[in-house]
Amino acid sequence: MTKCERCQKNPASIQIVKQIDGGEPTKHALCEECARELGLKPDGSEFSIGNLLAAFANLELAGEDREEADEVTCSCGHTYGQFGATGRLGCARCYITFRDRLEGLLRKVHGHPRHEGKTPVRSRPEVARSRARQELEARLENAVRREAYEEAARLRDQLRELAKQEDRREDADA
Amino acid sequence: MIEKLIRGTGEWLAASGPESDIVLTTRVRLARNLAAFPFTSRATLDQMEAVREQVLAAAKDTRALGGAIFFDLPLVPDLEKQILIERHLVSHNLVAAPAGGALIKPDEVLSVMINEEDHLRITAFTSGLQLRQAWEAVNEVDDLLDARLPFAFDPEWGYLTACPTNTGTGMRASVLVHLPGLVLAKRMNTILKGVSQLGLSARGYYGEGTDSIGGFYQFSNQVTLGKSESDILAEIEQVTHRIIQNETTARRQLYAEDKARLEDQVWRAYGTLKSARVLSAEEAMDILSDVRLGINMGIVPEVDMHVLNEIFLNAQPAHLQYYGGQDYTPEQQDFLRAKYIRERLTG
Repeated sequence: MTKCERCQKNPASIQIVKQIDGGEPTKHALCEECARELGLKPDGSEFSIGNLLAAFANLELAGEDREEADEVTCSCGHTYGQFGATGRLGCARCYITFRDRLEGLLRKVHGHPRHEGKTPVRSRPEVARSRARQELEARLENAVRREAYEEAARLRDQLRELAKQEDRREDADA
Repeated sequence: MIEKLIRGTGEWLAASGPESDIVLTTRVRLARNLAAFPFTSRATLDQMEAVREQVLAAAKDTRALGGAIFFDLPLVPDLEKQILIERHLVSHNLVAAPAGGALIKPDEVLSVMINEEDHLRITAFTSGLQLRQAWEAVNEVDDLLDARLPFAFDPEWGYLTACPTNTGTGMRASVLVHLPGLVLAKRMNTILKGVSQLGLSARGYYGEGTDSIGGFYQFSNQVTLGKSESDILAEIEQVTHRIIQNETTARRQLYAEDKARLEDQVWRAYGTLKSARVLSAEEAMDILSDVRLGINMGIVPEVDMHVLNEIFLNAQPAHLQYYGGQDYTPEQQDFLRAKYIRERLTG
């Protein structure tokens, strides 16, 4: 019997076939324990395709750059390799520590990795500023494309002003 | 403590919500983490206890959570843990967690799991299709805790969760539906494919993977980041309405084309419930599903839906054990299940 591809120890009693958008199917063979650890055991109400996707991303990582994945450690002690093994991050800072890799994973799972929903009360000013900046950047890009250079210049000045305010705020916080 | 919950049968069993012919329950869950602590997989026992203390302090005397019963899971007897799971009030993960806790309101609509995969899982559970109401209930609790406890949050990635599949809104909204018409019409594969293409995940509720005993399915959103809560809820609502239409049509067709066979299936099921001496959980689920359809279609007018819902709940293993007052072997449970159902229907 095939061995589990994750632990290489137990017999693989679970086979999962992944096929996205009619592309080539990829197969994964797991034992019960590894499936459960990856969050794949459908015994709770949280089982979802989302979990499956994350687990696959992790499985694919396990093959490639395991060592590389363990080079960087978050302040909480977590490595990306550990994330790959468990499907769980260690703390909020992990999102910053592993930003680049997570960006790709989030895009795979959610499609559009920018938050559009509710924000905590304390963060509302910050989020409002961030969204205002994004909007200005989008309008600037648009103006440049249309060759409306006066408008573009105005928008660029507004962005510079926002950035200056941001710097002043950061200095004040420091 | 479990007494308080058992005595009532939970609002969601009342079968009083909209579309409850087809949609049994709606669930909306928000995942949150406190900014000041690592996520549960990295937290020490002390840190988890601190999370719990802070959450309890923040919830105390509030309108939304005042009157909620607190369950300190490691201290709860195994049987009661199973009862909480069977009532969908806590998850298997929470029961296995080293410092799990649950704040549960006696009407069983609102519950807050503490130190599960995330520090907080705020859940509202309603009868029928009530996505807005469930959202408003969890939103209120979220506001109230947010005012007192800084949450882990990033302007670009939203609420930060232990698993990136929950990041953003941290919201998982799902509906539990009963689709015997579509099952009998052999259209479930098409439906499941369609639902999946619309961005929802679908699974059979009782049984493994997309198998479903009794024709019960759960649909939930896959994406939690990049859309507003409102948009996510609207999408699920839309898809659910389409499914309701499809199921209603399938049922009508079934009745029109094969009335005799349908009625036979329903009455045989009902007959079995009233007279069987041995019923396994699986068989009971199947049969109850047929009777449920029968009640919806007016074939079995003498049974009330809320009685059926009660039977669904109490025929589960831990509930039987609890009422029976002792440890039963699986065989004894099957005997007890049949006895309980017989008495409930004919008593």
